[in-house]
Amino acid sequence: MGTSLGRLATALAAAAWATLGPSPASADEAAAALAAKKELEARIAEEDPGWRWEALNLQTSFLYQEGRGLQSQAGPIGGRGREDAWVLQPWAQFRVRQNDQVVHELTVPVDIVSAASTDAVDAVSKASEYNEAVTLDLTSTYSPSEVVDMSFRFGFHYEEPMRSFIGGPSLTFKLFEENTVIGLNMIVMSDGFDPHNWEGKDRGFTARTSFGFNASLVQVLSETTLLDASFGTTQQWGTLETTWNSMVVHREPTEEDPRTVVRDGERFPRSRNRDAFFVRLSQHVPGSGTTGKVGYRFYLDENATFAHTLEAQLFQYIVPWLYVRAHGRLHTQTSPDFWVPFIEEGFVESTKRTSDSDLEAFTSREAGLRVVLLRERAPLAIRGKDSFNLEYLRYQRDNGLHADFGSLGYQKTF
Amino acid sequence: MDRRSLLVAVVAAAAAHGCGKKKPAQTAEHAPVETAATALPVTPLAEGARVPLGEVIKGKVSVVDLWATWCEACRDVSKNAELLAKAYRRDGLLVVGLSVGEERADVARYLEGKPHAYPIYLDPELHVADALDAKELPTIAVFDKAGRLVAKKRKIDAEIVRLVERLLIAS
Repeated sequence: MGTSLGRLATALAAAAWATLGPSPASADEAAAALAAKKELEARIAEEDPGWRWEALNLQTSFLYQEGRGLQSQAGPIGGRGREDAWVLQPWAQFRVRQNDQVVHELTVPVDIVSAASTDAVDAVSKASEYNEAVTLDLTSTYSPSEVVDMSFRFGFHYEEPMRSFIGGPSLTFKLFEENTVIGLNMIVMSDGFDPHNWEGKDRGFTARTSFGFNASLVQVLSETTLLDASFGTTQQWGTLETTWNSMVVHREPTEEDPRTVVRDGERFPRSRNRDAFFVRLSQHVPGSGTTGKVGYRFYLDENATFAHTLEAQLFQYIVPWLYVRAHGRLHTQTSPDFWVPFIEEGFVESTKRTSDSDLEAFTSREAGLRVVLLRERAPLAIRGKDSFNLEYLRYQRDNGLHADFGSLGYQKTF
Repeated sequence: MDRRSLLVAVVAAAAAHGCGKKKPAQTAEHAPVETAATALPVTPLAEGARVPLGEVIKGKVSVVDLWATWCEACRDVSKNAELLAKAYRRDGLLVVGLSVGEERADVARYLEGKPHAYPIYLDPELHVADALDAKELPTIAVFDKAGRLVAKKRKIDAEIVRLVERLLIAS
C-alpha cells in the first residue's frame, strides 16, 4: 500500500509538472515579481492614506490525541489513565491599516477542547469534560521610519474557569537595508481563576503572573542564506499548578477510609523561571525552488528540566505558485525535580509534586506535510490576492501518547 | 515662444507646486480609442533608428511613461512604472519610458548610473506627447495589444494596475 501511495504521489507530481509548466527555477522569478507588486501596492497605498483592510487570515485546526498518563483518573488507580482528547481551533486574524505608519492586527482564536483536564470530576466547572476558550488579541504597530517598528500588544482570554489579561511592548530594528533585524519584546500575562480542586470544590480565587522577555536576531548571511536566533526568558509567580489536576497517593488506611491508594492535588513551586535559546539556518538553492531550514532549541527550567529540540524543514516549489513543506522535529526532555509518578506514604503536604505527563521525561518525534497554493504568484488567468494551505502532522511520544493534527487555512490581502 | 518652450514653461511652473500635482488627475478612459500617436516616430535612447511608437509596442499590452529629467513628480511615477514592469513582465507587459522634449545627451547624462527596468525612447519634438494630448508631466498612457489607447492618467494608481491586469488576461 505504501509503495502504491508512493507511486501515486510520484505520478501526480509528474503530471502536475508536465501540465503546469515545470520550472521551479521560475519560482525565484515569480517571487521577484510578487515582491515588486507588493512594493508598488505599498507605494500606491501611501498616496491614499486612511483606514483600510489589509489582510485576512482564517485557519481551522483539528487535533486528536490518544495516550495514557498518570494524572488521568480514567484508568486503574495507581496506573496510567486515558488522556484522549480532541481540540478544534478556528482562528481568525484581521489586519487593518490606519495610515502609512500605523497598522493594527486583531487575532481571535477560539479553542473547543474535549477532556481539557482528564481527571477532574468537578461539579462546578465543566473544564474536565469539554471546554471552550476565546481570546481577543490586538497588536498595534507604529512605524515612524523604515528602520524602527514599535508595537504594543494587549488582549483578553476567557476560558472556564479562567480570565487572563496579556499586554506588552515590542521594538523591532531593521538595519543595513533590512539585512539585520533585531527584535525585543516584553510580555506580561496575568491569569485569575477559581482554583477548583480535583473533586470539583471551588476554593475561592487565585492568580498567577508571567513576565516574559524575548530578544531575536535575523541576519542575512548571503543572498541565499539566513540565520535567525532568539533568546527568551519567562518568570512566573503565584499559583502555577493546574488546581484540578490530581495524582496518586499511597497511604496508610484509616478507620474512616480503608483505601491505601487515593488522590491529592499537584503542587508547584510558587515561582518558576524558564529560559530558551533557539538558532536556525535557512538555505535557499537558487534556480531549484528549494529552501532548507535546520534549527535547534535549548530549554532550561530552574527546576532542573532540560530540553533539546532539533527541527528540519524542506520547502519545495512544484510550480512557482504551489509548494510543499515537509518538516520533522525531534524533542527530548528531562522532568523537573518535583515530577513523581505518585506520592509515597508519609508525604508532607507542602511537598512540590506533579505527575503531569507533559512534564514527564520523554522523547517525541513529529513529522508533517503542508501544501500551500499562492494565487498571487499564479498565472494571470487564475491570479488572485489570496492563498490556501493544507497541513497534516503526526506527533508521537515514547510514553505512548500520540496525536494527529490537521489544518486548513485561507489568507487574503486586499 | 515655440510649443516646446511653452510646454517646458508650463510644466516647470507646475513643478514649482509639485509638478502639476495640484491639478486633478485626468479620468482614465477605458474605452479603446484610435490615436495618431502610435504612427509617430520615437528615437531609442540606445543607438538606433527612429521607429513609430506603434512598432515599439506592437502586439503587447503597453504602458508608456511620459517624463522629463527636470520633472520631480515624474521620478515617483517612473519608480512605480519600474515596479509595474518588474511585476508583470513575465505576464507579457511592456513598459516604455518616453522622454519628452529633451535631447539624447541630456537624458543619457541624467540616466547615467541609474539602471532602469524598461526601454527608454525619446520624443524631443513633443510629437507623440501632443498626439496623446499630454499637457502635463508625468503622463501615463496605457495601450492594449492592438495598439489602441485605453487609458491616460497622471499617475500609476490601483485603477491602472487593475486595468493592466484585465488587459493582460484578455490578451
